[in-house]
Amino acid sequence: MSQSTPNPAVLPSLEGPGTVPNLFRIPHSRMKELLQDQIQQLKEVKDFSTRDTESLETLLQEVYEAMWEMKSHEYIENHFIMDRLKARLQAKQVYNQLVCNCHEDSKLLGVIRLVEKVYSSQTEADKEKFGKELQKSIQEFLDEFVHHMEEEEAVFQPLLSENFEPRELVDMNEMVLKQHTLFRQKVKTEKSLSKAIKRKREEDVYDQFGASLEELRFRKTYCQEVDDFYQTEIPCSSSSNVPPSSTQVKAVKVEHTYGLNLEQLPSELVVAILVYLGPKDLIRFGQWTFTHVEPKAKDMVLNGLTVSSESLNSTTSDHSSPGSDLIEFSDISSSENRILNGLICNLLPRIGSGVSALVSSCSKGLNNRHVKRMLKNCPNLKRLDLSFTNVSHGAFYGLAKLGALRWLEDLNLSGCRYLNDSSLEFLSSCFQKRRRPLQSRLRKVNLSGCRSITSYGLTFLHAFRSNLEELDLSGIYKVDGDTLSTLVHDCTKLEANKLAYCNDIEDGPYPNEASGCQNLECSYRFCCQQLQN
Amino acid sequence: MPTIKLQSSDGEVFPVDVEIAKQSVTIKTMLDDLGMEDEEEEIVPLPNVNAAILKKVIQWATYHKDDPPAPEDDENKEKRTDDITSWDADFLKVDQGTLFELILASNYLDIKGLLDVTCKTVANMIKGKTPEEIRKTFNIKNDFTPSEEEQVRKENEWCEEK
Repeated sequence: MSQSTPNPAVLPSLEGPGTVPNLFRIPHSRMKELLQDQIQQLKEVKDFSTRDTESLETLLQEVYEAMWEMKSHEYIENHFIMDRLKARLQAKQVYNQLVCNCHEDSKLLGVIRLVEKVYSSQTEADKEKFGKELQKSIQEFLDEFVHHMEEEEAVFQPLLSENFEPRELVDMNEMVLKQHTLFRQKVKTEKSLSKAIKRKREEDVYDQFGASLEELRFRKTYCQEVDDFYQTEIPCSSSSNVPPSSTQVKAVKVEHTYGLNLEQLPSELVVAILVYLGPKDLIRFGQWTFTHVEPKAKDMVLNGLTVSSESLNSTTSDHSSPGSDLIEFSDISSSENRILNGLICNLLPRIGSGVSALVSSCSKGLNNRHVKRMLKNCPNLKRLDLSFTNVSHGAFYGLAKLGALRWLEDLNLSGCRYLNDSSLEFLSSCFQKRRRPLQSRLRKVNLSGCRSITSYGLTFLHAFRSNLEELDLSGIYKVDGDTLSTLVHDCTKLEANKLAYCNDIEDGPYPNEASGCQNLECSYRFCCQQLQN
Repeated sequence: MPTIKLQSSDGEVFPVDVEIAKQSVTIKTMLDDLGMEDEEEEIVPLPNVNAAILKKVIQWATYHKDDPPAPEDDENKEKRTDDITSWDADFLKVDQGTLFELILASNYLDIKGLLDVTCKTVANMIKGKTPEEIRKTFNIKNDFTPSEEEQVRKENEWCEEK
């Protein structure tokens, strides 16, 4: 190993203050130096079998160290640069093929194995054979490696500058250089060819050498070795730049500062965590966090956040009057209302895009403005349950412009007594764009007990026709059989036994197969029979 | 018992019992669809998981290999976080970076049990904490100005009421 090389970590930084450091420049210049030095020498060896053993072994040892240093370089780049870049891009919901595919390499271990083979060859013929193989594979490796380095500087450095603050890059740069120093020291102290070969021979006397080497790698991975290196006491040498104790401290610190952060998780995974929290914890969580997370791509939907009536009610002592206004909440002593406000103002704007289910059944504090803001912030909603609340058409007015509800599959508005024809009109307009219908994904619609809806309102349900499988219209008695039949006829996926409507409607569709009113015996959903009694 | 080789993003290869590996729906699908099982030397590359994390995942899957399949999520059932087994709790005594890496990995590999238990662990780190404590726990930078901070604090004062 060349001693003349200055320690990369103490190289004076050429970047002035305020400029963005190039994270690849210094490590790559070191790698290029290795290439030109030891490895070039190896390529020039003409005849492995006749070269004197001692000088060949020295050369092989140098190449061996150089290759391990490159392996370290790869590890450092992966761990301290690319992983962070990946996590950052993932958090920003940017998919980059290059970043995902890079460093899947590599021929490096193959070269290392060949160095070991040449070194341990017993016969001159073997030495010559493996030597030539080594030269060939090293050339292949170099071609790739040089291209790889160029690519990193050309592709990833701009990506880094784009996605990280200059201050973060300075920190990362410092960390990368520090790691290189540590690893060089590790390689120097540990990677001795003669010891490696001896160890292997001791471990499997009976086995053929080539096969056993592979086993050894499986048993202890390089990353594991690195971890162990940090754990175990490093023999204290006076020439060492970094005393062992500080190495250990630094390694711990690295984990804390440079590990993956909660903020870097994609929002559907943050939601996967938040579903375990009650409303109070949710709001406290939403208060300070996630100011950096950007809204993510529209078509990524996944987990659900349930604001269920139970969890709301558990902290609710008194219920506010219906229609209470968002702005006036401080005057109303309703903790339910305030919980909803907290969720809507603090939490949903940040994680809303990952929310696929909203259940706010029976919530007395829920008003139209709550609903509208929730739906605006949760564009990827698949399931919406607002049953037995006081929502009315105001909740849905103007939603179409916000692109809300496009992905909705399950809508439950049963028992919403203030719901009327306009509500359905506004709802259905979410599934139109410039008067052209968008394919609705709604499979299940429950409007049971929404007594104000009339035949006129039903005509808007045609917007849901493409995928509708279940429709409950129990208790909606102000509709005529013809309108209902036209609607049902239009919904080709709707099954007769999954359709329920008022028994009093004459000439309705599927007179025998359809389910009758579901609310006859029900005391809390409206049924026209209640009018007669 | 047949094994397959899983290769981490940093190139390390881990031979794993097929039945253990199949706890990952991602790997199971890959094996079932592509019939990779027959070929002895097949290596499954996992470009999103590094060796240190893959090792942890394999460790978890090995311990849980005889678990019954996880029940489907009941949307109406309350989500508990106090049902983490002591083995899992010990297993997850790791730094935050590793914990989040495990969440990402179990999501990518589609291992529901591991995803659930890691998410529960993070949820427990949030539960009962004040916003300030949450911020400290997760080392989240505060980018509010002092006056904004005061306003948010006021708006949410009731949260701290008993």
